[in-house]
Amino acid sequence: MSRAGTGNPKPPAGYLDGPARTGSRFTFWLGAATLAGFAGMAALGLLVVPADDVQGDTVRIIFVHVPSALGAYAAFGLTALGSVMWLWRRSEWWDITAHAGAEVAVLLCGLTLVTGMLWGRPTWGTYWEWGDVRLVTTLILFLVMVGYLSVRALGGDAGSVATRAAVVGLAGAVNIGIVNRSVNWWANRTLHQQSSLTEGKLEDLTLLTLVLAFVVAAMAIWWMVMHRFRIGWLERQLADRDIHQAVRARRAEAGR
Amino acid sequence: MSHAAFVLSAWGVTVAAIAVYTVSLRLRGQRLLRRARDGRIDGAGADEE
Repeated sequence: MSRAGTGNPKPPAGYLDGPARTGSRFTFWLGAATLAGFAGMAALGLLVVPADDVQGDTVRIIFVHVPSALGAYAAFGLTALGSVMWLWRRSEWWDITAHAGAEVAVLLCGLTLVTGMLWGRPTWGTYWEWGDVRLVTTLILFLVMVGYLSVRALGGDAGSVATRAAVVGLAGAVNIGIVNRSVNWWANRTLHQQSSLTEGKLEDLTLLTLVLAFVVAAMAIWWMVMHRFRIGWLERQLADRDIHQAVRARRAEAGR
Repeated sequence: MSHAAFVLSAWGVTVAAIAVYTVSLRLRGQRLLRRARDGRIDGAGADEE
């Protein structure tokens, strides 16, 4: 990592490498495909899919709730992978990827909690139940993700920040498995149903719409992570530039 | 609230949150690119999407 304290007035090799903008032709088409997929998913999920025999119309919430949950796992899983790679290889690329994944994961995990509450009220009669293991472990995962971003925001030497964040990211990622398996491990301590997907409880059209929702979510996450990664990369380039400019100015002053 | 209101709230919150985040990404990117241009980093201020 070429950051503060190098004292080198010349930008290091590769200084201008990396993305020159946060969007590209690819992300443009990826975004367009995501919007088109979302329009189809909304039409199917809100208008075409029949109401559930038991849950009625609230079943339509699963098309935003379940992809948000799995998307949060995937995005924070990316953070965990990036954290491992940072600790192993000291790769700045992976550190920025980990940061990008965490920000998207916070968004999606927050949406999982909110949409879950909006599903819980008409289905269980309550927005929240503190004794429910699925709800509480998901909240803990969300707080860990927020904690990860807080550690990154503390500042300091970039390498130390990346290492501290990587440790939090890896420790937090363990919780993904606990959240996911909680409805099976503590089946008598949760109102949350077990996976409708793996138990084959969904009608054909509902299943098709849910699969489409997963594809749309995957594309949206890809788009967001790519843009967030490029922002992170630009931030570091600019930080490096500022340092080099400051060093040049000091040297010029000293030579006067 | 009716079931339909809960459904629309869940979808609405999801769409709104993702829309706000994507717009914030674009704005943050544009701000950084402006900074890069101001500092004359070659290439960093190249045409935006």
